[in-house]
Amino acid sequence: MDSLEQGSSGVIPLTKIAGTGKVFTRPPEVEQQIEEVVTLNRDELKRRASIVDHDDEDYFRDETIVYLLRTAAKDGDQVFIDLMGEMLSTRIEKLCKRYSNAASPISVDFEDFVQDLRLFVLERVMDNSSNAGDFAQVRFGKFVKMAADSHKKRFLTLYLKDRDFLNHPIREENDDDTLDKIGSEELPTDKMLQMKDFFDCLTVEEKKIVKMLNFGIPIERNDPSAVTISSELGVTSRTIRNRLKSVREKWNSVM
Amino acid sequence: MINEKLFEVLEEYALDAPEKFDQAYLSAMQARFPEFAEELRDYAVSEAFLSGPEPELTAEDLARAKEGSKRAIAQILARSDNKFELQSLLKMAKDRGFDRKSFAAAAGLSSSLVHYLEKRRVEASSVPQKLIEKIGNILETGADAVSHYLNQPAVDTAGASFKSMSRPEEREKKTFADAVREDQQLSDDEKNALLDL
Repeated sequence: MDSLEQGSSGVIPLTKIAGTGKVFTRPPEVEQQIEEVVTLNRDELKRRASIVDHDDEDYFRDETIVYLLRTAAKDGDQVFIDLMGEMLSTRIEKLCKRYSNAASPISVDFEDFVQDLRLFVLERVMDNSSNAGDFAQVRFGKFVKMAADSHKKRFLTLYLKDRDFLNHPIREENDDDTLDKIGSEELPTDKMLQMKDFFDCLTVEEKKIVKMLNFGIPIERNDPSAVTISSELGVTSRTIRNRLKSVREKWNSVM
Repeated sequence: MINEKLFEVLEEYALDAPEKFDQAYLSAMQARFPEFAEELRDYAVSEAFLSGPEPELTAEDLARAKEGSKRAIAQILARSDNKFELQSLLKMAKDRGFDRKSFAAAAGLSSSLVHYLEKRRVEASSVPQKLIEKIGNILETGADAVSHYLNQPAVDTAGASFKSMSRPEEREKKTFADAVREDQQLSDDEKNALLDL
């Protein structure tokens, strides 16, 4: 099988061709970690695969775990299939929790959905007769997300949207200039902890607005076909700004 | 069922999408794939929910992930049958740090019995289940993979090339008990231990 032939570095290359006509390539930092990983003995692999601290320098990237699971499946290595499968499953759980945090509480349906998603992702990654799972070694988070979107008839998107947004009284309009900082991944650790407290005290609808704003989606635009927070949530820009005033008050009290 | 075409379109979107939301990029993709315009829009918007602080997993979350993984893998392996089959006992043993001699010792076999098993010249049904499980543990593949390996045709005829005009007949397989009795390397005690399995 061509897709399983090792390159000169001992790493099995990706073979899937994207719509752009280019073969998928792993990001350099992923490629570098996999090149290091293929030289490790089994005990060291087991030790490092079990590290959960994201800041530990020995922490395996999601894409590296995908690679290890795929090679374990190729070799029929049951111990590593179980270990890497569990590790990857944990990463999927974490990704899904990001979504559930944005639209809590978790319903039974959502748990079923996560299990279906887990089965789909693991199966695609472990299927060495196909390169359909190559993108999981490029951007695992996005791979899981697109699996969620295309696998279950947009279940995830509908789940995120299908919430009550309009239960709060209208407040006076306010600006949102402090929100540029919210949700930033570049904050120092102590600020990140404060951020967590801050997010915990937001309502579900406030979280959604903050996340979309931080992602760069404008509140409103003149073009009716454009993506805006207002059009996505089906509320007026005035309502959104009122929500943001509440967010800002919470921000000032926590940070 | 997954829509493979949609999956590929989303892959293409995700591959080159800017880190932050970009209306122009989304519109260009929607123009190329009008049949998935809504899905692309939904995907682009829900990207927002991947941002923010890293969520912490509770003990309950971890237990769910572990249990979910077990169930999923069992389902996948049950569906895939031959996809994960062992290619060679000795190669797998080598991957686990054993040479032929140490692998034989770990399994309580002689080198020649290992050779018989490797070449599948022993009737699979005659190999004691306890031995299959032991080998599965040593190789870390589980007993099913070993059993599946032994149940295939002998290695020297399966897929081998030959010079004569006709395929050579498959050599008759021995029973495990006969192979043990004929072994020249094991002591009587070792043979009895194997025959008692």
